Amino acid sequence: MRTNRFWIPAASALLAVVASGCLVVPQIKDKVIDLVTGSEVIAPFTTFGSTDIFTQTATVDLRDFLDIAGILDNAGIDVSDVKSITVSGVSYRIIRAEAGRTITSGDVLVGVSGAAPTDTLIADFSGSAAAVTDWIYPRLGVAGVTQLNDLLAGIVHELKTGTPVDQRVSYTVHGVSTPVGVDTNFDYEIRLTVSIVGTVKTKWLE
Amino acid sequence: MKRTIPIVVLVGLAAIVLAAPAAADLSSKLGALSGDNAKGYLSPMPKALSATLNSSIFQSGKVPLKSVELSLGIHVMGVNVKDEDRTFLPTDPAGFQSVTPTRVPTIIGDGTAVPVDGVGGTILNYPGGFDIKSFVVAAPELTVGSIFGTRAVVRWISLTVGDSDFGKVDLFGIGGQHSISQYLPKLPVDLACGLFYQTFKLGDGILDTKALHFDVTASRDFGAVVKIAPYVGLGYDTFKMDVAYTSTLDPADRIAVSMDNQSNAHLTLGAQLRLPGVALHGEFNAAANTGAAVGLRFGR
Repeated sequence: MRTNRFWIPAASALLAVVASGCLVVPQIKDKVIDLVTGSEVIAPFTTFGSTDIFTQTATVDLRDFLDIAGILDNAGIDVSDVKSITVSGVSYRIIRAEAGRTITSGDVLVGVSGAAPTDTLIADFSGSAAAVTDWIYPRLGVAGVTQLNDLLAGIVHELKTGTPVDQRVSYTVHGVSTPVGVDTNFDYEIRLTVSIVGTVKTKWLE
Repeated sequence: MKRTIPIVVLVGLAAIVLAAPAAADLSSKLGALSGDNAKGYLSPMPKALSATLNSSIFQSGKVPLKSVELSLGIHVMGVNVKDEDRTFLPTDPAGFQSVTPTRVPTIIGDGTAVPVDGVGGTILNYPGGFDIKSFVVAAPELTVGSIFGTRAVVRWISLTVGDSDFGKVDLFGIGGQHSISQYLPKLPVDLACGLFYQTFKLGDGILDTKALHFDVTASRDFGAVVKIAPYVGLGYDTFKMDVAYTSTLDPADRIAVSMDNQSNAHLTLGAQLRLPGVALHGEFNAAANTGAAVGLRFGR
């Protein structure tokens, strides 16, 4: 029968090709892949007593705010497999308002590892402190962010080698505060968002 | 330590599961992404899962009016993924402005994370993919029939994969085939229509999918004791996928993402080799993705 002469070899060939695995050979393969995780460092500040020109300096130790070991543990990344930690964003918000208060021509300078805060982290910000706000994303200064990235690189080095790094970060917040002649009195937070890359081993069936 | 091992592997005797090995890593990878970017990262998944789950369901158009048949088998369905699906263009999350648009890996892309430079010297890293060239799903399938020219087909697997932190893998599918040939006895081939509904869930609500497949299968048996039966299926697939994960920045932030629904025509070309008590099939599928499937079943 002509139909049989065509179909049987064709079907046999198709079956043989597919079943022999020419098209699909499921295998479990080891893979080393990069995971990315993130965290935030939130430093609270209270303003009080300054008039006209508002200046405030503070120092925080990242160890008190950034639990790198815990973050890595949750992500399943071994310390030795951390590739980088970098700043992915800086933001601020008003958490206790002062009626009528405005800050103009403001900037935030930063210094790391005990250095004086001289590099611009946040440049030329202006805003009202008369109401609480959501996170505000200001224009960032490359020099300040680079300082922080260098510090974070140092933290990676510390994690891998055990050589301690001075993790202090000093800020100076400066701006023109109005109304003049009245003490400034509001609370705000600065948030540093970091991005962490590390490798993990996994397996995949394909 | 919350997770004692970063990976899970499970290869059962009869049940091998696709993406399950990386369920926890998938969750970790998504955690660093905003909802829009998680959608981009997972964008190849609906096509790949639709094409695999909706394959290798029916291998014959021959459904006896009345008979006792019971068979259990394992079906392995695979698709090759496309190179253009290996990267996507992310949307800048709040507070980050990229200097130049940069394509980053999807779940099937390169395993290396991509740092994207932002304004002001910031750097936002996007996770690497799993460097996948093909996508494979395997599932046990039970066939029971037939009465009034109708047989039932069931797929089911429910596994707790490795460490309990990684959650469960659940695949359930149910459907059936109804003989058309009984109404058209002069047809030169056996013809049946089929409908199959599946749910596939991964992890603790990480992935929740629903697939529906409809087709008409034509086949013809050749041979006596040893039979070979080529078959052709023409059908239609729909696929829905929801994803939920916890942000690594804010563990209280549970992000839910609904992927765009997938629907497409489905062509199957295959052949089944049947010996007494054993059947082996292989098929080619042109659906959401192009792929192939094989299966081995025991019973009658």
